[in-house]
Amino acid sequence: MNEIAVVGIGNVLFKDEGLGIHAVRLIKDEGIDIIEAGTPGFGLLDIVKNYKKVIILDAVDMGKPAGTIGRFSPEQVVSISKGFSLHEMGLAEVIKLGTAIGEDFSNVIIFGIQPQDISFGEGLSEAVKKNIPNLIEEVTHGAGYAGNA
Amino acid sequence: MHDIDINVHHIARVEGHGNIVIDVKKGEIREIKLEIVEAPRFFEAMLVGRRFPEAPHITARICGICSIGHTIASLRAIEDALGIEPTEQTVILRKIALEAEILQSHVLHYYFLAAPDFLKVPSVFPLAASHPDVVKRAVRIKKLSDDICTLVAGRHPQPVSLVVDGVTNLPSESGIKEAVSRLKEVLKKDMPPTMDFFNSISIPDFERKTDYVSLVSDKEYPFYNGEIYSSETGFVSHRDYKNKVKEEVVLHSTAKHVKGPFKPYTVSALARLNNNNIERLMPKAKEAVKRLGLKVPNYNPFNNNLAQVVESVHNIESMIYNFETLLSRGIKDERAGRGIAGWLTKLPKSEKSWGVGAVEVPRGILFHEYKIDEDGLITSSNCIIPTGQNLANIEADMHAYVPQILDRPKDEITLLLEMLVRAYDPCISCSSHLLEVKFVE
Repeated sequence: MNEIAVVGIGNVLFKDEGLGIHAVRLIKDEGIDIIEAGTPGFGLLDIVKNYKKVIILDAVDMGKPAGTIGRFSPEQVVSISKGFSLHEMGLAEVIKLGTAIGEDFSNVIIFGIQPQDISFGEGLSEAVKKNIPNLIEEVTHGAGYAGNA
Repeated sequence: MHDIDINVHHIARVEGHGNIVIDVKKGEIREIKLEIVEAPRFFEAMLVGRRFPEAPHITARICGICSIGHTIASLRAIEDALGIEPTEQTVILRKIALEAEILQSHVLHYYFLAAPDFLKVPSVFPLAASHPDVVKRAVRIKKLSDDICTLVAGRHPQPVSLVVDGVTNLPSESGIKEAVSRLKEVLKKDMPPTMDFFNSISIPDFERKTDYVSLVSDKEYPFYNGEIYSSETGFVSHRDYKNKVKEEVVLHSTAKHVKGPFKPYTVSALARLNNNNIERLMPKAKEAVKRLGLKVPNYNPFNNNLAQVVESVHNIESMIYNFETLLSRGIKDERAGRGIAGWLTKLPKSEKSWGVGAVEVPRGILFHEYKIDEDGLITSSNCIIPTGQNLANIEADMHAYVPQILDRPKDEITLLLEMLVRAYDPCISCSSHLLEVKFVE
């Protein structure tokens, strides 16, 4: 097990919603652990505990043009989820609940791309697809794990 | 990059939404409805034309919480159709996986979905602030359950190693020993405070005796195996389940209602407790019944939450017992001798047949029924899930309960009715925040 994990989360059955998964599949680096977490719910707490640094890749609705890349800390993740659901423990809910019970997310950064289409189906939209390499660049060589988080 | 406030959205899966409609005019109740607005899933149709070994893997996808439950009901239906008797070791492994899954479902339900109501908070988030130990306990037990499901079934949700007539992978002895140690720890450290917690809350006072349907057994407290029993109409053989379980289309619900056969009935942890001799419970679970002050038989649907607590204790003890049985006998690799383990093997000779699997899952009894042709393809299937069987009974409860609380403030009536629905732990409680109580005045 390495000290750093890059974790892709999302659902590949809902087009751009799965971009985190598509992105991590393109990262090849022996020095980090690549995790396709799917829709992990509480499982995320384990991942966060096991690594010195955790970089999460996900589809993020920032209200920006499709393909825009964003980076933020767990504190910046504000949930307007419709409520609590056992079928749908999203990233925001896990962070919120985890924080409330004293879990530490200071080793976590979240990177995301604004999705274009999150309807049912497979494959990424063009706007997202063409920005995946930029996202990976950000994660691996930019402000990501190569030092400067 | 400058800091930005963002909202992280995660795509909604198909889940249940429930609306409660109460129409009262001058104190007279004109209409009480539990509307289910849930998209059809088409699983029964999806199975048609598939080879039978695929059915457990496909139906596992019906649910993320009860995927092992569906897998096992599916396996039992197929084995019933083809006259296959799995080995004792396979049965023990399935029982462990099933009970691990029931444990995590119950714990999450009574701690995350039901408890906030009793503490008068809107959700588990304020509970995490006021009662962090409660939330940590639930997360810890869930993790243990998930790890046991992974150890035995390969993954949770959606198991991979449970197949017709066997398992494709075996748990290691060291994995089992670790699981036993963690289970004993939870039993000792987490269940007593759980019982203290549920002793401290106030359960609404309401009773309505109904028809309780569950598996019963004189050998053990049944989840995997038993006879189908109704407290009103008695025993029915699993292959005759349709004599008891009658589905009907209801206009205000996309989920069919079920009657047994003319009146509503309920399936649940409470039904299991009411129908089975509590002597079949493991020792600490029997103590839990007394400790929680649970009178049995019990006709208060709100007490289903307490019945789930009792079952959680039982599940833990039962898994310890089953794991220790496996250790004492040694894990045997039975895979080579049995030809049906997995869908990569050549399909065995099949014959035209049909079978039913009836299994207790967290929310009650689950039925899978398949017809299989001589080529091993499924020609028809029927899946009747616990929540569907409870819908008519929930409405009947509301009909009985609403008159008793009609003079209370609207907010209180709303909360009590939501709590009533949640007590059944229906799949729609996952979106309980979307329960809308509409008062038509």
